[in-house]
Parts: sequence; C-alpha cells; structure tokens
Amino acid sequence: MKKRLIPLVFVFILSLPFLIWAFIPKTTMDIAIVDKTVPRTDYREHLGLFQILWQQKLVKPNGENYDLGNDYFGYDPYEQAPLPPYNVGDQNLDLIYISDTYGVYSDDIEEKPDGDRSELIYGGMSLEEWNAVMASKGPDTTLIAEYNTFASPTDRKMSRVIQQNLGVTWTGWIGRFFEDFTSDEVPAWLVANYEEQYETPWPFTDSGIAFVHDDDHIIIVETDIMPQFKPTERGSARFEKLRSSSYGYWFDVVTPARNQAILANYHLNVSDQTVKELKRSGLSQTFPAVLHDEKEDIFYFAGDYADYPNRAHMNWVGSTFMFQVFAKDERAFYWRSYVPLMQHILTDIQERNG
Amino acid sequence: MTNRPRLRKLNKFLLWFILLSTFGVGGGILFLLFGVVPIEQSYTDRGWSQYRIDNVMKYYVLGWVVFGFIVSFVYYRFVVRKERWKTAIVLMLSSIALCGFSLHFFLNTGAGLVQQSQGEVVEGERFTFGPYPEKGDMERIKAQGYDGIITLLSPTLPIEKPLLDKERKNAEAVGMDVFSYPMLPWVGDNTDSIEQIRELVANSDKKYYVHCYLGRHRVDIVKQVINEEGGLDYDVMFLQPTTFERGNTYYLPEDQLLLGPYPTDEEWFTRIKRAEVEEVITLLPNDKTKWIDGAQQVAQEMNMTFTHMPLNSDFTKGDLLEIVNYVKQQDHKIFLHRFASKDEILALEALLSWGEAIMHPRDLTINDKPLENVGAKVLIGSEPSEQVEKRLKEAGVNTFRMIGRNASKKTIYQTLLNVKQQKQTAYIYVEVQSAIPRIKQMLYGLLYGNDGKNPAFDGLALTRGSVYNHERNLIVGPVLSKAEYESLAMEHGFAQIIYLHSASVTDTSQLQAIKEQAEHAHIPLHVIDMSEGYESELIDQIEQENGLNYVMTDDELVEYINEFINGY
Repeated sequence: MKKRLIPLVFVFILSLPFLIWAFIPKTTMDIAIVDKTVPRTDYREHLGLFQILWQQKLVKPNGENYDLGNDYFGYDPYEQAPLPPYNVGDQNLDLIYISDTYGVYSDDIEEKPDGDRSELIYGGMSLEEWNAVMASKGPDTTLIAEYNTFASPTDRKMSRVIQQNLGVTWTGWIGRFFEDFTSDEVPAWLVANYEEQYETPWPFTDSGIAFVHDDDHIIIVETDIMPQFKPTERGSARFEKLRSSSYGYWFDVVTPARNQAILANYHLNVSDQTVKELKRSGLSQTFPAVLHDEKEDIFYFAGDYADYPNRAHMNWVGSTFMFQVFAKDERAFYWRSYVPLMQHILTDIQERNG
Repeated sequence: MTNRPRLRKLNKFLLWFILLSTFGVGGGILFLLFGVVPIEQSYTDRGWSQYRIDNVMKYYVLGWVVFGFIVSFVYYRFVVRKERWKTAIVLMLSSIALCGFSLHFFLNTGAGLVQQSQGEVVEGERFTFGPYPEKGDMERIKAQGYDGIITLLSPTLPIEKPLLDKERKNAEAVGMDVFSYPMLPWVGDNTDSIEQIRELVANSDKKYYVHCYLGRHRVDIVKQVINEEGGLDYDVMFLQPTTFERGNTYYLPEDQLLLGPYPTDEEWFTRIKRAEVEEVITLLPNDKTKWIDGAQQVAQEMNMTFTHMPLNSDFTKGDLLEIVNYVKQQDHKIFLHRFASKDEILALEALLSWGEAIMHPRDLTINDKPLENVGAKVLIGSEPSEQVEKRLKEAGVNTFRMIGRNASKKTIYQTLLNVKQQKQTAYIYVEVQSAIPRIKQMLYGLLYGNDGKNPAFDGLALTRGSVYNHERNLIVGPVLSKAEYESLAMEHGFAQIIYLHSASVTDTSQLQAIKEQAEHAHIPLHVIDMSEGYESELIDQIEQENGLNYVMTDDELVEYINEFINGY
C-alpha cells in the first residue's frame, strides 16, 4: 500500500507549484496594448508581456484573462487586416503599453521572406492614434513605450511629437547584435546598403553589432560580446530585482530630453579605438536603455523587450526564478532583466491604483 | 472462429484495427460536425481570439484521438481478447455502420444536420465565401453573375474526392467554370495552391464563389490571400475645388451644387467626375454650339446627365429663378456652369445661398461713379440719396449699413459678420472713402475668401510659424497670437477658424485660452479633436464655408496638416 502511495506523493509534490499558483487570487488591471507588428500568429512582439500578465494573474476588469490574440490594438494575422484603431472610451486605464509600431510588410507574410525591405502593408503611428493614446492617459496611468514607437515608418513630424511626449530625443541610430554576420538573420537590405556605402563586398563573417542610421548610414562593430544591459544606481535602488544581462535584439539610441531618470544603460564592450570611431558618428560606449519620466510616469524601453518567440509555460510558483537560473543566450535578458522590471512596475501600479 | 493460433491472432488484430479505423473516421466526422464546430462557435461568440480558440481546439482533437484509442483498447481488452466473438462482431459492424452513416452525411452536404455546421455565406464585391455548393446553389450563383467557382477541396482526401467529382459534374451541367486549388484542412503544404490563388486574384477582375467543405477554415486562409493581394481599403476623400483655370467655383453643400466656369479637359475628370457629379447644367447661350456640344459629349462619356438651360448676358431675375427652381427640385449632385465665373454665377450663388441677389451690380453707380461690389451680395459706396436708395432696393439690396469715421477694426468686422449671418443683401456706406478697400477685403474674406488665391498669404510669417496658402478660401497656419487675431484674422475677414486640437500637444488649459481669444475677437471658432476620423469632419467644415477658412493647429503640426491638405 505504502509503495503504491509513493508515486502519488511524488506527483503531488511536483504539482504543488501549480496548485499553489492556481489558488493565488486574480487581480484586475486595465491595460491597453498597441502592437502593429503582428504578421504571424505567434504574436511574438507582445507575447513576452502577456506571459507576465498571465503569470502574475493580472486579468481584465471583467475578470477574464488577457487574450493574446484579441486584447491589443494593431494587426490581425488571421484576417491579415488591421484591427479597429485605438479607442478605449472612458476607461480609467492603469497601463498603456506600446510594444511595437513597426508594422507588417509584404515580405513578412511570405512563407520564405528574402529579408529585403518590402512594401508596407500596415504600420507606423498616426497622429490621430497617438492623440487617442495621450488622451486616454490619465494621471494614474503608466505609459510604457518600447523601441520603434516613433521610428520608421512613422512620419518624421509625427515622430517628433511622440518623442516630445515621451521625453526622449532619438539620435537617428538603431542597432542590433548579430551572432553570425553570414546568417539569414542579417537583413538583405543591411548588407546591400553597406556594400553600396563602402563600395566593397560584405566582409563580415563573425559576430558584431550593426548600427543603422535613419539616413541609411551603417557602422559595423565587430565583437563577440552582446551589448550589456546594466541597471544604473538609481535603477537598482528602485527595482532591486533588476539584473544585468546581455541584450541581443534591436535597440535605438536615445537621450533624455527632460529630466528623465536613466534606470538602465546599454554598455558596449569594445576597444578604445572603436569607442573613438563611434564618437565620430555621435555614438557612445554607454547609452540609455530604460528611461523614466517620474512626473508623468512614462517609461521608454529602448529595445524590443516584450518580444519573445515561443510561449514559456510559467504559470507556477517559482517559475521566474527557475527560468532566471537556467536562461542563457539572448533569452537571459528576458528572464533576468525584462521580467523583474515589468513585475516591479506592475506591482507599483497595483499598489498605486489599489 | 478458427482454432489456429496465428490466424486467431490475425483475426483479433483485424477486429481491433477495423474498429479503431471505422470508429476513428465515423466518430471523427460526427465529432467534427457536432462537437468541434459548435464548441468553436461558442468560443467565437464569447469573443475569444482565433489564436486562443486554435490553442484550445488542439486539445479537443488530441482528446478525441486518445478517446478513440481508449475505446479500441477497451474493445480489445474486454471483448476481443476474451474471445467474445459475437459481441466483438456486433460492435465492429456497429462501428462500420456508424462510419457509413457519417460518410453519408458528410457527402450529402444539403442535409439539415450538415447545414447546421456550415459557415455562413460572406458576400464581397468580387469574392463570396461559403460552404460546398450543391447544383441548386450553383444555378443561383450563376444567376447572380458569378464567373466561376474556386474549390479548395482536396482530391487526395478519400472523403472529398467524390464531392469534387460531383461538383465538377454539376458545374458542367450548369455551365460554370470550376477552379480547383486543393488545400488540406489541417497544417500542410498549401503553398502552391495559395500562390495560384494569389495569381488568379491579381490577374483577373472576375467574380468568384470560394468554398471548401464547411466554409469555415480553408476559406479563411484564402480570405487572407485576397486581403493581401487586394490591399487595404481606404476611404476616398475629396475636397471641393474652389478655383478652375477659367475662374472660381462655389460649392453649396445643402443643394449639392457646384457652380463654376467651363472646365478644362483635365478638370472635367479630376474635379467634376471625381466629385461624383451626376448632372451637368450648361448656361451657355445657344450660339456657343461648339462649347455646348463639347460639354454634352463629356457628360455622356462620363455617364452624367446633361441639361442645357441657355442664359443670355441681359438675364433677368426671373431667368435665374427658373434655374434655381430646377436645381432645388433635384436630389443629386449638380455642376452648373457658364464659360467664366462671372455675374450670372455669382447672382445664382447669392440667390441659392441667401435667397436674394443684387442684379447686375457692376452697372450701378452713384454720381456716375461705379460702386464696389462683393459678388451679388454686397455693395460698398458713399451715403446714398433717397433716389439712389430706391434704385438699390429695386436692384435687390435688402439692408443698408453705415460704417462711421471712427469705427474700429473690430466694429467693422462685427458689422460685416452680422450682414453675413443675417444673409441679407446689403449696401455698406462709409463716411471715409479711403476705408472702402479695407472693407472690401474684409467682405471678400467673409463671403468668398478671396478672388482667386490671395498672394498676400504665400509664406506669410506669423509669430509662431508660417502660413500655407491652399485655396481661395483655405489657408493653414499656426496658433494665432493675441495681436494676430486683429492684424490678420479681422483684417482679412476670416470667416471661421478651424482649430485642430491635438491632445498629445495641447492640454485643456491651452485649449481654453484659444477659445477665449477667438470669442474676444468675435471670430467664429470651430474646434476639431484630431482623433480617428477627424479628416472627414475637417473637410465637411471647410466645404460648409465659402468664406476664408483658417485651419489653425499647434505649431509643430502645421507642416503635417499642410501635407495632409496637399494630398487632396
């Protein structure tokens, strides 16, 4: 009899984290999410955020879970058509999250994209939408905007208005670390522009960081170390669980326009010579990654932070700790930096708005 | 059953296998029709996203497969293995019967039970999506003008092949083309078919009925392809033109009437046809045969009604009223023209918008001096004698207003604005002759914007930025300073200021300040919030006003709005 019980006890112990999680009460939080870059049904540009909402048991005001395929403003990958524009009526929002406005391009919906710049189907932030976003931001609403809220294909004049509202000034540079400069990950347009600019065939075969300016100017920095995401003193004091990590996806180079607090920086591990070369193009070795306007409660994340490729099953107690311990490569950023950052922010919102 | 062990084993395996496969197929079909489809529908009704539904439905399908194996395991364990042959054979035959019954329903798409599971017909301009069409449906589709049927049934699926054969046979009998682009109803390589459909959509303008079996899943994929290929639908918006090459045009939205000169070849298409005009009325006198014939030909080519109502240069009020009565009786958009936008057009505009017009104002004089006129609505001159006053009344003047020697700009603006708001043809007389040009400028602004585009506004620099000059009655610029309400808005007779309010740039206290300044200057102000759909409200507001519209917006958005208006 005892022998028969052992497996049951074992199963029970294994199930405990799930059972405890199941009994944690749900909390309502009214959130509006904008994601215009949804060419496929993986919803990867906002999946990273939704996973945290599910894990934290944050639900809609009607008590239902946030639906990854429904509860956002942007593009419907099933219908291949835009969803209704941003409109939240008279709701008292707790959080507005702009995860991506880059949009959907004809190449994105091909079975085998060629990586070249293709025709825009839908994307960019229009003035009307941005007005609706700002009109819906009350005094107790936190606004979080990520990389590419104001970059291409958003109109330049519109971009200036958005930057003013967010309190950041974009230098015009974006960048990304590539593990292998010969892989399919490197966009064809990047290689073509480089070859045209430097009048030489693409010479890079290792890893490095590609910087691309709004005017298509390109700088390649060869390094095998990803940009390091590092909390500042202020950031660590405010968010004690926020950890340093390597960041391996797209980012933009911005400076604070008002008295924003810089909560985290990117740091490039490059030679002094490279630092000098970067400086000639207006780039520096360390630049802001997370900015916070405390008066307006507006965060700017200078990267594609909510982007997560596949669903991680984290609906159990202790999951974030375990994922943090075992996360490696580019996923380490998500677990060690983004998840704690968002958990802190969401907890702050809950405490503030009751 | 046989006593030979190997054969006995084979028999047991066959019994298990036949039950598993027939139960799997037969039960699977029924589960799809009466389980999966209603469950999916209930989730859709609850507002779930397709992503969430697909994720949940995977578990139902997996559950069915597991259930099928459990049933077959139980059958094997408790019936076959225990060699209860009679029970085993009865159960196996029942399963075969279930499979046959299910297949019968599946192939008989007209059956009521199947129809309950079918998707709705979604009609579009070129493509209609729906379930499998029977012969009667095909006859109806053909009668509705469809050119062909796009079928997504796959002949590689044994249960769909007979349906496809039947469809081809029926289509041949009805006389319709069937385009077969086989697609699998689950994850599979449908790339070739999708590419072929993409080509068909791009290279043909015909009308098709698209279907799979239930009209739910595969047709949704084709909808995506068609959306991608067809691009997005944008509302075509159009701002009524205010000047043609041969003169000004005047738009009266209440009467759906555009008045103006004889258009050039390009203007016929870009300004008249694009404005969705349905009738062209020519006022040219009978001797202008060449031009009349030209207008008639263009109207015919563009499928517009052509009406000729000749009007001589010595026209009377009675002649004009006949035209007005005709126009008022129509309920479609009309373009009414003469060769140039001269007195006839202005008199008609006054009669239609104010119910009165000053006839032949250029012929009216005081002491042999011609009077200044602004259209057929207002005359300006010196104080009239009783005799002159009588003559002016006979010509159509309804009201007389005096502007004193010491009248301020604000008083003059208010007096003129009042004339406009009262819609009374007026004679404005002044004590100081030198005031006439300023009054005329204000009146032009209030009533017609300007006589053509006013070069004074080209690149005009204001305190907060530059002005963009767009049309006779439309300029775009930044928020006016307090002084500019008088030096610019009153001076040029702004008929209204349309303030485009952007919540991301201006807060409510700044908005309130703008309202107060406009109210203080007595200049009509219309505030439009720049939220979704504001463009159509802006266009409507501009078209309502033939006088000078100043589209005012926050300094950083002036260029943005300028480009937007340029797009029209």
